[in-house]
Amino acid sequence: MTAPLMLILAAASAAPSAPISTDADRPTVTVAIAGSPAAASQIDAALHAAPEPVRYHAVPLPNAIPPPPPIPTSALADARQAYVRGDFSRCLASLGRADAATDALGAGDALTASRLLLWSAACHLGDGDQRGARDAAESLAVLALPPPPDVGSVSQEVEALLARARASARPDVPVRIETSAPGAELVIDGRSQRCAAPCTLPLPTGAHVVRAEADGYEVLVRRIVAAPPSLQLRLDLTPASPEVAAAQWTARYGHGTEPDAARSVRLLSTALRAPRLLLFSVDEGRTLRVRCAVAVDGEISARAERVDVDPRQLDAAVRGLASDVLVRGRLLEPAPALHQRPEFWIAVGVAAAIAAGATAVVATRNVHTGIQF
Amino acid sequence: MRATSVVVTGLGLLLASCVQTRQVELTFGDEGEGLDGFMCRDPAGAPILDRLQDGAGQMLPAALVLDFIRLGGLPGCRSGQVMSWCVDHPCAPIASHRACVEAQFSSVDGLTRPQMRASLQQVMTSLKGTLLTGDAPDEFVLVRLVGTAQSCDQLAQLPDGTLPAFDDSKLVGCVYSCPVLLDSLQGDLFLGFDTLTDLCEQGVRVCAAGDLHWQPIQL
Repeated sequence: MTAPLMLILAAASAAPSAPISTDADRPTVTVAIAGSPAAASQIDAALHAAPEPVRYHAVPLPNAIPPPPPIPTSALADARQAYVRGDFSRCLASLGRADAATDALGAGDALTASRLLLWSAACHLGDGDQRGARDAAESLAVLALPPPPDVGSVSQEVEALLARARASARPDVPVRIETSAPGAELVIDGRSQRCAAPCTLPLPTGAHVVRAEADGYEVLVRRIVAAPPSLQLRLDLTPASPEVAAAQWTARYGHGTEPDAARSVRLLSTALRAPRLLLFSVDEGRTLRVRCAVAVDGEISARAERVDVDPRQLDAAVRGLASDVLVRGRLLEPAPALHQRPEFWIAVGVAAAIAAGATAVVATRNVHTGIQF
Repeated sequence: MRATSVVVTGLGLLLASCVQTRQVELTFGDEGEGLDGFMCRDPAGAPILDRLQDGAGQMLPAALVLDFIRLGGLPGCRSGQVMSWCVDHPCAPIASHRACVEAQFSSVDGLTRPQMRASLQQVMTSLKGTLLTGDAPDEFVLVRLVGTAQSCDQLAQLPDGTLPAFDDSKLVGCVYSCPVLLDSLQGDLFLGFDTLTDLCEQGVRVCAAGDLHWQPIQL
Protein backbone atom coordinates (compact mmCIF):
# COMPACT_ATOMS: atom_id res chain seq x y z
CA MET A 1 0.00 0.00 0.00
CA THR A 2 3.03 2.23 0.06
CA ALA A 3 2.97 2.91 -3.67
CA PRO A 4 -0.54 4.45 -3.75
CA LEU A 5 0.35 6.65 -0.78
CA MET A 6 3.50 7.87 -2.49
CA LEU A 7 1.48 8.50 -5.62
CA ILE A 8 -0.84 10.82 -3.69
CA LEU A 9 2.01 12.63 -1.97
CA ALA A 10 3.85 13.08 -5.25
CA ALA A 11 0.78 14.57 -6.86
CA ALA A 12 0.32 16.90 -3.92
CA SER A 13 3.89 18.11 -3.85
CA ALA A 14 4.07 18.58 -7.61
CA ALA A 15 1.05 20.84 -7.78
CA PRO A 16 2.31 24.32 -8.65
CA SER A 17 0.95 27.64 -7.57
CA ALA A 18 -1.32 29.23 -10.12
CA PRO A 19 -0.96 32.75 -11.46
CA ILE A 20 -3.78 35.15 -10.76
CA SER A 21 -3.72 36.26 -14.34
CA THR A 22 -5.66 34.12 -16.73
CA ASP A 23 -3.43 35.16 -19.61
CA ALA A 24 -1.87 32.34 -21.44
CA ASP A 25 1.49 34.03 -21.23
CA ARG A 26 3.33 33.78 -18.01
CA PRO A 27 3.71 37.12 -16.24
CA THR A 28 7.19 38.53 -16.13
CA VAL A 29 8.84 39.36 -12.84
CA THR A 30 11.98 41.46 -12.91
CA VAL A 31 14.68 40.13 -10.64
CA ALA A 32 17.45 42.28 -9.16
CA ILE A 33 20.12 40.83 -6.95
CA ALA A 34 22.29 42.70 -4.46
CA GLY A 35 25.23 40.48 -3.68
CA SER A 36 28.43 39.11 -5.10
CA PRO A 37 28.50 38.18 -8.78
CA ALA A 38 28.81 34.51 -7.85
CA ALA A 39 25.75 34.64 -5.60
CA ALA A 40 23.83 36.60 -8.22
CA SER A 41 24.66 34.02 -10.83
CA GLN A 42 23.59 31.18 -8.57
CA ILE A 43 20.32 32.89 -7.69
CA ASP A 44 19.61 33.60 -11.32
CA ALA A 45 20.15 29.96 -12.23
CA ALA A 46 18.02 28.76 -9.33
CA LEU A 47 15.12 30.97 -10.32
CA HIS A 48 15.22 29.86 -13.91
CA ALA A 49 14.96 26.28 -12.71
CA ALA A 50 12.04 27.11 -10.40
CA PRO A 51 8.62 25.71 -11.31
CA GLU A 52 6.65 28.90 -10.66
CA PRO A 53 4.37 29.88 -13.54
CA VAL A 54 6.10 33.23 -13.94
CA ARG A 55 8.97 34.31 -16.14
CA TYR A 56 11.95 35.69 -14.29
CA HIS A 57 13.89 38.43 -15.99
CA ALA A 58 17.14 39.19 -14.22
CA VAL A 59 18.63 42.65 -14.62
CA PRO A 60 21.74 44.21 -13.08
CA LEU A 61 21.39 46.82 -10.39
CA PRO A 62 21.95 50.42 -11.47
CA ASN A 63 25.51 51.54 -11.00
CA ALA A 64 25.86 54.93 -12.73
CA ILE A 65 26.13 58.35 -11.18
CA PRO A 66 25.90 61.16 -13.72
CA PRO A 67 28.87 63.52 -13.71
CA PRO A 68 28.34 66.84 -11.91
CA PRO A 69 27.59 69.84 -14.07
CA PRO A 70 30.79 71.39 -15.37
CA ILE A 71 32.13 74.27 -13.36
CA PRO A 72 32.66 77.24 -15.65
CA THR A 73 36.19 77.82 -14.37
CA SER A 74 37.54 78.69 -17.83
CA ALA A 75 34.73 81.19 -18.35
CA LEU A 76 35.54 82.82 -15.05
CA ALA A 77 39.24 82.92 -15.96
CA ASP A 78 38.39 84.50 -19.33
CA ALA A 79 36.15 87.04 -17.62
CA ARG A 80 38.90 87.88 -15.16
CA GLN A 81 41.50 88.32 -17.90
CA ALA A 82 39.10 90.47 -19.94
CA TYR A 83 38.39 92.57 -16.85
CA VAL A 84 42.11 93.05 -16.25
CA ARG A 85 42.55 94.13 -19.86
CA GLY A 86 39.59 96.47 -19.49
CA ASP A 87 37.57 94.61 -22.07
CA PHE A 88 34.36 94.62 -20.09
CA SER A 89 32.12 93.60 -22.93
CA ARG A 90 34.14 90.45 -23.42
CA CYS A 91 34.15 90.03 -19.68
CA LEU A 92 30.36 90.01 -19.63
CA ALA A 93 30.24 87.77 -22.67
CA SER A 94 32.54 85.28 -20.97
CA LEU A 95 30.23 85.04 -17.97
CA GLY A 96 27.44 83.82 -20.24
CA ARG A 97 23.82 83.81 -19.27
CA ALA A 98 22.57 86.05 -16.52
CA ASP A 99 21.17 83.11 -14.56
CA ALA A 100 24.40 81.13 -14.61
CA ALA A 101 24.73 81.84 -10.91
CA THR A 102 21.28 80.38 -10.37
CA ASP A 103 22.37 77.24 -12.18
CA ALA A 104 25.48 77.00 -10.03
CA LEU A 105 23.45 77.35 -6.85
CA GLY A 106 20.99 74.81 -8.13
CA ALA A 107 23.89 72.44 -8.53
CA GLY A 108 24.99 73.24 -4.98
CA ASP A 109 28.11 75.13 -6.07
CA ALA A 110 27.98 78.26 -3.94
CA LEU A 111 31.58 79.23 -4.62
CA THR A 112 31.11 79.34 -8.39
CA ALA A 113 27.86 81.24 -7.95
CA SER A 114 29.67 83.73 -5.75
CA ARG A 115 32.47 84.19 -8.27
CA LEU A 116 30.01 84.60 -11.16
CA LEU A 117 28.14 87.31 -9.29
CA LEU A 118 31.36 89.03 -8.22
CA TRP A 119 32.70 89.25 -11.77
CA SER A 120 29.27 90.16 -13.09
CA ALA A 121 29.18 93.14 -10.72
CA ALA A 122 32.74 94.08 -11.60
CA CYS A 123 32.30 93.81 -15.39
CA HIS A 124 28.94 95.64 -15.35
CA LEU A 125 30.46 98.41 -13.31
CA GLY A 126 33.47 98.63 -15.61
CA ASP A 127 31.13 98.68 -18.58
CA GLY A 128 29.27 101.58 -17.05
CA ASP A 129 26.14 99.56 -16.30
CA GLN A 130 25.45 100.74 -12.79
CA ARG A 131 22.11 98.94 -12.55
CA GLY A 132 23.54 95.62 -13.71
CA ALA A 133 26.42 96.00 -11.25
CA ARG A 134 24.04 96.86 -8.43
CA ASP A 135 21.78 93.90 -9.20
CA ALA A 136 24.74 91.49 -9.15
CA ALA A 137 26.04 92.95 -5.89
CA GLU A 138 22.52 92.85 -4.46
CA SER A 139 22.18 89.19 -5.39
CA LEU A 140 25.52 88.41 -3.76
CA ALA A 141 24.37 90.12 -0.58
CA VAL A 142 20.85 88.63 -0.55
CA LEU A 143 22.15 85.13 -1.12
CA ALA A 144 24.64 85.72 1.70
CA LEU A 145 27.27 83.95 -0.28
CA PRO A 146 30.77 84.12 1.16
CA PRO A 147 33.10 86.49 -0.72
CA PRO A 148 35.20 84.51 -3.19
CA PRO A 149 39.01 84.60 -3.09
CA ASP A 150 39.09 86.72 -6.29
CA VAL A 151 37.49 89.63 -4.47
CA GLY A 152 40.98 91.06 -4.10
CA SER A 153 41.31 91.31 -7.89
CA VAL A 154 38.49 93.76 -8.40
CA SER A 155 38.63 97.53 -8.13
CA GLN A 156 37.90 99.44 -4.97
CA GLU A 157 34.74 100.74 -6.59
CA VAL A 158 33.49 97.22 -6.89
CA GLU A 159 34.43 96.46 -3.32
CA ALA A 160 32.59 99.54 -2.22
CA LEU A 161 29.55 98.49 -4.23
CA LEU A 162 29.59 95.08 -2.58
CA ALA A 163 29.97 96.60 0.85
CA ARG A 164 27.02 98.91 0.28
CA ALA A 165 24.91 96.07 -0.89
CA ARG A 166 25.76 93.99 2.15
CA ALA A 167 25.00 96.89 4.42
CA SER A 168 21.54 97.51 3.00
CA ALA A 169 18.71 96.53 5.29
CA ARG A 170 16.62 93.63 4.00
CA PRO A 171 13.77 92.52 6.19
CA ASP A 172 13.14 88.80 6.34
CA VAL A 173 10.13 87.52 4.51
CA PRO A 174 8.43 84.29 5.66
CA VAL A 175 8.45 81.96 2.72
CA ARG A 176 6.32 78.78 2.74
CA ILE A 177 7.18 76.20 0.17
CA GLU A 178 5.11 73.16 -0.69
CA THR A 179 5.90 70.51 -3.19
CA SER A 180 3.89 67.94 -5.13
CA ALA A 181 6.23 65.27 -3.78
CA PRO A 182 5.65 64.90 -0.05
CA GLY A 183 8.81 65.18 1.98
CA ALA A 184 10.92 66.63 -0.78
CA GLU A 185 14.17 68.11 0.45
CA LEU A 186 14.53 71.85 -0.08
CA VAL A 187 17.93 73.51 -0.41
CA ILE A 188 17.88 77.30 -0.29
CA ASP A 189 20.64 79.27 -1.97
CA GLY A 190 22.97 76.29 -1.97
CA ARG A 191 23.32 76.29 1.81
CA SER A 192 23.99 73.14 3.72
CA GLN A 193 20.86 73.55 5.84
CA ARG A 194 17.86 71.81 4.37
CA CYS A 195 14.21 71.45 5.17
CA ALA A 196 11.58 68.95 4.18
CA ALA A 197 8.57 70.26 2.34
CA PRO A 198 6.26 71.67 3.28
CA CYS A 199 8.32 74.10 5.31
CA THR A 200 8.34 77.80 6.12
CA LEU A 201 11.54 79.71 6.60
CA PRO A 202 12.53 83.38 6.75
CA LEU A 203 14.50 84.65 3.78
CA PRO A 204 15.91 88.12 3.22
CA THR A 205 13.96 90.19 0.78
CA GLY A 206 15.24 89.55 -2.70
CA ALA A 207 15.92 86.77 -5.16
CA HIS A 208 16.78 83.29 -3.97
CA VAL A 209 17.35 79.90 -5.49
CA VAL A 210 15.36 76.90 -4.30
CA ARG A 211 16.38 73.40 -5.16
CA ALA A 212 13.80 70.65 -4.54
CA GLU A 213 14.70 67.03 -4.76
CA ALA A 214 12.89 63.81 -3.90
CA ASP A 215 13.33 60.13 -4.64
CA GLY A 216 11.66 59.31 -7.90
CA TYR A 217 11.38 62.90 -9.08
CA GLU A 218 13.43 65.11 -11.29
CA VAL A 219 15.42 67.78 -9.44
CA LEU A 220 13.70 71.17 -9.69
CA VAL A 221 15.65 74.44 -9.40
CA ARG A 222 13.55 77.57 -9.18
CA ARG A 223 14.55 81.21 -8.75
CA ILE A 224 12.15 82.95 -6.39
CA VAL A 225 11.80 86.50 -5.22
CA ALA A 226 10.96 86.99 -1.57
CA ALA A 227 8.98 90.16 -1.09
CA PRO A 228 7.12 91.41 1.99
CA PRO A 229 4.89 90.57 3.59
CA SER A 230 5.19 86.84 2.78
CA LEU A 231 5.54 84.37 0.01
CA GLN A 232 3.83 81.06 -0.58
CA LEU A 233 4.67 78.86 -3.46
CA ARG A 234 4.17 75.31 -4.61
CA LEU A 235 6.69 73.40 -6.61
CA ASP A 236 5.42 70.69 -8.90
CA LEU A 237 8.05 68.04 -9.35
CA THR A 238 8.11 65.85 -12.41
CA PRO A 239 8.36 62.07 -11.91
CA ALA A 240 11.88 60.97 -12.62
CA SER A 241 12.88 59.15 -15.75
CA PRO A 242 14.33 55.66 -15.25
CA GLU A 243 17.79 57.07 -15.90
CA VAL A 244 17.41 59.71 -13.22
CA ALA A 245 15.91 57.18 -10.83
CA ALA A 246 18.84 54.88 -11.51
CA ALA A 247 21.28 57.66 -10.68
CA GLN A 248 19.36 58.53 -7.52
CA TRP A 249 19.27 54.88 -6.43
CA THR A 250 22.96 54.44 -7.08
CA ALA A 251 23.83 57.56 -5.13
CA ARG A 252 21.58 56.88 -2.16
CA TYR A 253 21.21 53.12 -1.82
CA GLY A 254 23.71 51.55 -4.20
CA HIS A 255 26.35 51.12 -1.55
CA GLY A 256 24.10 50.83 1.46
CA THR A 257 23.33 47.76 3.50
CA GLU A 258 19.58 47.98 3.17
CA PRO A 259 18.80 47.89 -0.52
CA ASP A 260 15.41 46.39 0.27
CA ALA A 261 14.23 49.47 2.17
CA ALA A 262 10.87 50.73 0.98
CA ARG A 263 12.25 53.90 -0.63
CA SER A 264 15.06 51.98 -2.25
CA VAL A 265 12.72 49.43 -3.76
CA ARG A 266 10.34 52.12 -4.96
CA LEU A 267 13.17 53.96 -6.68
CA LEU A 268 14.58 50.73 -8.06
CA SER A 269 11.25 49.80 -9.59
CA THR A 270 11.30 53.04 -11.54
CA ALA A 271 14.97 52.74 -12.43
CA LEU A 272 14.54 49.21 -13.74
CA ARG A 273 11.18 49.88 -15.38
CA ALA A 274 9.87 46.97 -13.31
CA PRO A 275 6.19 46.99 -12.34
CA ARG A 276 6.79 43.62 -10.69
CA LEU A 277 10.14 43.53 -8.97
CA LEU A 278 11.75 40.75 -6.98
CA LEU A 279 14.78 42.00 -5.09
CA PHE A 280 17.22 39.59 -3.49
CA SER A 281 19.88 40.74 -1.04
CA VAL A 282 22.60 38.34 -0.01
CA ASP A 283 24.84 39.01 2.98
CA GLU A 284 27.74 36.65 2.63
CA GLY A 285 29.72 35.10 5.41
CA ARG A 286 30.36 31.59 6.61
CA THR A 287 26.65 31.17 6.10
CA LEU A 288 24.37 33.36 4.07
CA ARG A 289 21.60 35.70 5.00
CA VAL A 290 19.20 35.95 2.09
CA ARG A 291 16.46 38.53 1.98
CA CYS A 292 13.79 38.87 -0.61
CA ALA A 293 11.20 41.53 -1.25
CA VAL A 294 8.59 41.75 -3.94
CA ALA A 295 7.22 45.09 -5.08
CA VAL A 296 4.24 45.75 -7.28
CA ASP A 297 4.24 49.18 -8.92
CA GLY A 298 7.00 50.26 -6.59
CA GLU A 299 5.26 49.29 -3.35
CA ILE A 300 6.61 46.38 -1.37
CA SER A 301 3.90 43.79 -0.96
CA ALA A 302 5.84 41.02 0.76
CA ARG A 303 9.20 40.31 2.34
CA ALA A 304 10.89 37.17 3.50
CA GLU A 305 14.27 36.25 4.85
CA ARG A 306 16.36 33.13 5.40
CA VAL A 307 19.29 33.18 7.76
CA ASP A 308 22.13 30.72 8.28
CA VAL A 309 21.74 29.43 4.76
CA ASP A 310 24.37 26.93 3.76
CA PRO A 311 25.90 28.22 0.52
CA ARG A 312 25.33 24.79 -0.98
CA GLN A 313 21.63 25.11 -0.18
CA LEU A 314 21.25 28.55 -1.69
CA ASP A 315 19.22 27.26 -4.65
CA ALA A 316 16.54 25.75 -2.46
CA ALA A 317 16.45 28.81 -0.21
CA VAL A 318 16.05 31.12 -3.18
CA ARG A 319 13.25 29.08 -4.70
CA GLY A 320 11.49 28.90 -1.35
CA LEU A 321 11.82 32.64 -0.79
CA ALA A 322 10.62 33.50 -4.28
CA SER A 323 7.61 31.23 -4.04
CA ASP A 324 6.81 32.57 -0.58
CA VAL A 325 6.89 36.26 -1.46
CA LEU A 326 5.18 35.80 -4.81
CA VAL A 327 2.26 34.12 -3.08
CA ARG A 328 2.12 36.55 -0.18
CA GLY A 329 2.58 39.44 -2.58
CA ARG A 330 -0.48 38.22 -4.49
CA LEU A 331 1.44 37.71 -7.69
CA LEU A 332 0.68 34.02 -7.41
CA GLU A 333 -2.31 32.35 -5.93
CA PRO A 334 -1.49 30.05 -3.04
CA ALA A 335 -1.47 26.41 -3.93
CA PRO A 336 -4.98 25.02 -3.47
CA ALA A 337 -5.69 22.66 -0.62
CA LEU A 338 -4.90 19.04 -1.28
CA HIS A 339 -8.50 18.03 -1.78
CA GLN A 340 -9.05 20.87 -4.26
CA ARG A 341 -6.47 19.63 -6.70
CA PRO A 342 -7.56 17.43 -9.61
CA GLU A 343 -4.24 15.62 -9.36
CA PHE A 344 -5.13 14.56 -5.85
CA TRP A 345 -8.37 12.93 -6.90
CA ILE A 346 -6.70 11.34 -9.88
CA ALA A 347 -4.08 9.93 -7.56
CA VAL A 348 -6.78 8.80 -5.14
CA GLY A 349 -8.59 7.08 -7.98
CA VAL A 350 -5.46 5.36 -9.19
CA ALA A 351 -4.55 4.37 -5.66
CA ALA A 352 -8.03 3.02 -5.06
CA ALA A 353 -7.89 1.07 -8.30
CA ILE A 354 -4.52 -0.37 -7.36
CA ALA A 355 -5.75 -1.22 -3.89
CA ALA A 356 -8.88 -2.81 -5.28
CA GLY A 357 -6.82 -4.75 -7.77
CA ALA A 358 -4.44 -5.92 -5.10
CA THR A 359 -7.34 -6.90 -2.88
CA ALA A 360 -8.98 -8.77 -5.72
CA VAL A 361 -5.73 -10.53 -6.51
CA VAL A 362 -5.29 -11.54 -2.90
CA ALA A 363 -8.93 -12.51 -2.49
CA THR A 364 -9.09 -14.51 -5.68
CA ARG A 365 -5.56 -15.77 -5.71
CA ASN A 366 -5.16 -18.93 -7.63
CA VAL A 367 -4.55 -21.91 -5.38
CA HIS A 368 -3.65 -25.19 -6.95
CA THR A 369 -4.29 -28.05 -4.55
CA GLY A 370 -2.84 -31.37 -5.49
CA ILE A 371 -4.26 -34.59 -4.05
CA GLN A 372 -1.98 -37.53 -3.48
CA PHE A 373 -1.79 -40.71 -1.45
CA MET B 1 7.74 4.95 -19.97
CA ARG B 2 10.19 3.62 -17.43
CA ALA B 3 7.74 4.11 -14.58
CA THR B 4 5.01 2.38 -16.57
CA SER B 5 7.30 -0.57 -17.22
CA VAL B 6 8.13 -0.82 -13.56
CA VAL B 7 4.46 -0.76 -12.59
CA VAL B 8 3.48 -3.36 -15.18
CA THR B 9 6.38 -5.60 -14.17
CA GLY B 10 5.47 -5.18 -10.54
CA LEU B 11 1.87 -6.14 -11.15
CA GLY B 12 2.98 -9.12 -13.18
CA LEU B 13 5.24 -10.29 -10.39
CA LEU B 14 2.44 -9.69 -7.92
CA LEU B 15 0.04 -11.83 -9.93
CA ALA B 16 2.63 -14.51 -10.48
CA SER B 17 3.46 -14.59 -6.82
CA CYS B 18 -0.18 -15.18 -5.95
CA VAL B 19 -0.41 -18.61 -7.59
CA GLN B 20 -0.07 -21.00 -4.69
CA THR B 21 0.59 -24.69 -5.15
CA ARG B 22 -0.08 -27.03 -2.27
CA GLN B 23 -0.42 -30.74 -1.72
CA VAL B 24 -3.00 -32.60 0.30
CA GLU B 25 -2.35 -36.20 1.23
CA LEU B 26 -5.08 -38.75 1.59
CA THR B 27 -4.95 -40.69 4.80
CA PHE B 28 -6.92 -43.63 6.18
CA GLY B 29 -5.81 -43.15 9.76
CA ASP B 30 -2.73 -44.33 11.59
CA GLU B 31 -4.20 -47.79 12.08
CA GLY B 32 -6.00 -47.94 8.76
CA GLU B 33 -9.30 -47.36 10.53
CA GLY B 34 -10.62 -45.50 7.50
CA LEU B 35 -10.36 -48.60 5.34
CA ASP B 36 -13.59 -50.22 6.60
CA GLY B 37 -15.15 -49.45 3.25
CA PHE B 38 -12.76 -51.93 1.63
CA MET B 39 -13.47 -54.64 4.21
CA CYS B 40 -17.14 -55.12 3.53
CA ARG B 41 -18.67 -58.46 2.79
CA ASP B 42 -21.61 -59.24 0.58
CA PRO B 43 -24.82 -60.72 2.03
CA ALA B 44 -23.28 -64.15 1.53
CA GLY B 45 -20.36 -63.18 3.77
CA ALA B 46 -17.70 -63.06 1.03
CA PRO B 47 -15.29 -60.14 1.11
CA ILE B 48 -16.14 -57.91 -1.79
CA LEU B 49 -12.40 -57.32 -2.27
CA ASP B 50 -12.18 -60.88 -3.60
CA ARG B 51 -14.15 -59.74 -6.61
CA LEU B 52 -10.67 -58.91 -7.93
CA GLN B 53 -9.87 -62.62 -8.26
CA ASP B 54 -10.06 -64.07 -11.71
CA GLY B 55 -11.20 -67.57 -12.41
CA ALA B 56 -7.80 -68.92 -11.53
CA GLY B 57 -7.79 -67.27 -8.16
CA GLN B 58 -5.31 -64.57 -9.19
CA MET B 59 -5.90 -61.05 -7.92
CA LEU B 60 -6.37 -58.60 -10.76
CA PRO B 61 -5.38 -54.95 -10.28
CA ALA B 62 -8.10 -52.80 -8.86
CA ALA B 63 -8.94 -49.31 -10.10
CA LEU B 64 -9.02 -46.72 -7.35
CA VAL B 65 -11.25 -43.93 -8.65
CA LEU B 66 -11.03 -40.56 -7.01
CA ASP B 67 -14.08 -38.34 -7.39
CA PHE B 68 -14.96 -34.92 -6.06
CA ILE B 69 -18.66 -34.84 -5.20
CA ARG B 70 -20.02 -31.36 -5.69
CA LEU B 71 -22.10 -30.42 -2.65
CA GLY B 72 -23.03 -26.85 -3.44
CA GLY B 73 -22.65 -25.97 0.22
CA LEU B 74 -21.42 -27.29 3.49
CA PRO B 75 -23.49 -30.03 5.08
CA GLY B 76 -22.58 -31.95 8.21
CA CYS B 77 -20.17 -34.85 8.08
CA ARG B 78 -22.31 -37.71 9.25
CA SER B 79 -23.87 -39.98 6.65
CA GLY B 80 -27.38 -38.92 7.53
CA GLN B 81 -26.46 -35.29 7.25
CA VAL B 82 -24.90 -35.79 3.84
CA MET B 83 -27.89 -37.78 2.62
CA SER B 84 -30.28 -35.15 3.86
CA TRP B 85 -28.27 -32.43 2.15
CA CYS B 86 -28.21 -34.31 -1.12
CA VAL B 87 -32.02 -34.49 -1.25
CA ASP B 88 -32.10 -31.06 -2.77
CA HIS B 89 -28.50 -30.67 -3.95
CA PRO B 90 -26.83 -32.33 -6.91
CA CYS B 91 -24.19 -34.25 -4.95
CA ALA B 92 -22.78 -35.63 -8.21
CA PRO B 93 -19.11 -36.20 -9.10
CA ILE B 94 -17.43 -33.44 -11.06
CA ALA B 95 -16.71 -35.23 -14.28
CA SER B 96 -13.68 -33.24 -15.30
CA HIS B 97 -11.87 -33.94 -12.06
CA ARG B 98 -12.10 -37.73 -11.93
CA ALA B 99 -8.75 -39.42 -11.35
CA CYS B 100 -7.89 -43.07 -11.35
CA VAL B 101 -4.89 -45.22 -10.40
CA GLU B 102 -4.43 -48.93 -10.29
CA ALA B 103 -3.58 -50.79 -7.15
CA GLN B 104 -2.63 -54.36 -6.62
CA PHE B 105 -4.43 -55.91 -3.64
CA SER B 106 -3.76 -59.30 -2.13
CA SER B 107 -6.47 -61.81 -1.46
CA VAL B 108 -8.01 -61.39 1.94
CA ASP B 109 -9.66 -64.74 1.94
CA GLY B 110 -9.21 -66.35 5.31
CA LEU B 111 -7.66 -63.33 6.97
CA THR B 112 -8.87 -62.01 10.23
CA ARG B 113 -10.21 -58.45 10.23
CA PRO B 114 -6.99 -56.97 11.69
CA GLN B 115 -4.97 -58.92 9.16
CA MET B 116 -7.23 -57.70 6.37
CA ARG B 117 -6.85 -54.08 7.56
CA ALA B 118 -3.08 -54.47 7.72
CA SER B 119 -2.99 -55.89 4.21
CA LEU B 120 -5.09 -53.05 2.88
CA GLN B 121 -3.01 -50.48 4.69
CA GLN B 122 0.13 -51.92 3.22
CA VAL B 123 -1.28 -51.53 -0.28
CA MET B 124 -2.34 -47.96 0.39
CA THR B 125 1.03 -47.16 1.89
CA SER B 126 2.70 -48.51 -1.24
CA LEU B 127 0.81 -45.88 -3.17
CA LYS B 128 2.11 -43.05 -1.01
CA GLY B 129 3.28 -40.14 -3.12
CA THR B 130 1.15 -41.11 -6.11
CA LEU B 131 -0.38 -37.93 -7.45
CA LEU B 132 -4.07 -38.25 -8.25
CA THR B 133 -4.72 -34.68 -9.39
CA GLY B 134 -2.71 -31.47 -9.49
CA ASP B 135 -5.61 -29.08 -9.21
CA ALA B 136 -8.55 -30.09 -7.09
CA PRO B 137 -11.78 -28.06 -7.41
CA ASP B 138 -11.99 -24.97 -5.25
CA GLU B 139 -15.44 -25.52 -3.78
CA PHE B 140 -17.12 -27.55 -1.10
CA VAL B 141 -16.79 -31.17 -2.08
CA LEU B 142 -16.87 -34.57 -0.64
CA VAL B 143 -13.81 -36.58 -1.74
CA ARG B 144 -14.59 -40.15 -2.54
CA LEU B 145 -12.31 -43.06 -3.40
CA VAL B 146 -14.03 -46.04 -4.98
CA GLY B 147 -12.33 -49.37 -5.51
CA THR B 148 -13.58 -51.49 -8.39
CA ALA B 149 -12.61 -54.45 -10.49
CA GLN B 150 -13.33 -52.34 -13.53
CA SER B 151 -10.44 -50.75 -15.32
CA CYS B 152 -9.57 -47.07 -15.23
CA ASP B 153 -10.25 -46.86 -18.94
CA GLN B 154 -13.77 -48.10 -18.48
CA LEU B 155 -14.46 -45.43 -15.93
CA ALA B 156 -12.90 -42.46 -17.64
CA GLN B 157 -14.99 -39.45 -18.61
CA LEU B 158 -17.12 -40.13 -21.66
CA PRO B 159 -16.95 -38.02 -24.81
CA ASP B 160 -20.27 -36.45 -23.89
CA GLY B 161 -18.74 -35.18 -20.67
CA THR B 162 -20.56 -37.60 -18.39
CA LEU B 163 -19.10 -40.29 -16.20
CA PRO B 164 -19.88 -43.97 -16.61
CA ALA B 165 -21.61 -45.51 -13.65
CA PHE B 166 -19.82 -48.07 -11.54
CA ASP B 167 -20.77 -51.66 -11.97
CA ASP B 168 -22.15 -52.49 -8.56
CA SER B 169 -21.14 -56.08 -8.92
CA LYS B 170 -17.52 -55.11 -9.34
CA LEU B 171 -17.23 -52.69 -6.46
CA VAL B 172 -14.51 -53.68 -4.00
CA GLY B 173 -14.62 -50.74 -1.62
CA CYS B 174 -15.48 -47.15 -1.06
CA VAL B 175 -14.32 -44.45 1.34
CA TYR B 176 -15.09 -40.76 1.53
CA SER B 177 -14.21 -37.61 3.37
CA CYS B 178 -16.18 -35.07 5.28
CA PRO B 179 -17.34 -32.06 3.25
CA VAL B 180 -14.24 -30.00 2.66
CA LEU B 181 -12.89 -26.91 0.84
CA LEU B 182 -9.63 -28.31 -0.39
CA ASP B 183 -7.90 -25.02 -1.22
CA SER B 184 -8.30 -24.03 2.42
CA LEU B 185 -7.62 -27.40 3.98
CA GLN B 186 -4.93 -27.56 6.59
CA GLY B 187 -3.26 -30.96 6.97
CA ASP B 188 -4.12 -34.32 5.47
CA LEU B 189 -7.53 -35.41 4.26
CA PHE B 190 -9.01 -38.40 6.12
CA LEU B 191 -11.08 -40.85 4.15
CA GLY B 192 -13.28 -43.37 5.92
CA PHE B 193 -16.52 -45.32 5.81
CA ASP B 194 -19.27 -45.36 8.40
CA THR B 195 -20.40 -48.89 9.18
CA LEU B 196 -20.90 -50.98 12.28
CA THR B 197 -20.90 -54.34 10.53
CA ASP B 198 -18.96 -56.30 7.97
CA LEU B 199 -22.10 -56.72 5.90
CA CYS B 200 -21.81 -53.31 4.35
CA GLU B 201 -21.80 -54.01 0.65
CA GLN B 202 -25.01 -52.03 0.33
CA GLY B 203 -23.27 -49.08 1.91
CA VAL B 204 -20.49 -49.37 -0.62
CA ARG B 205 -23.07 -49.24 -3.39
CA VAL B 206 -24.60 -46.13 -1.94
CA CYS B 207 -21.16 -44.60 -1.54
CA ALA B 208 -20.24 -45.33 -5.13
CA ALA B 209 -23.57 -44.20 -6.54
CA GLY B 210 -23.61 -41.17 -8.74
CA ASP B 211 -25.91 -39.08 -6.63
CA LEU B 212 -25.42 -40.16 -3.05
CA HIS B 213 -29.13 -40.53 -2.56
CA TRP B 214 -30.75 -42.91 -0.18
CA GLN B 215 -31.13 -46.22 -1.79
CA PRO B 216 -33.51 -48.80 -0.31
CA ILE B 217 -32.03 -52.27 -0.03
CA GLN B 218 -32.64 -54.51 -3.01
CA LEU B 219 -34.11 -57.72 -1.66
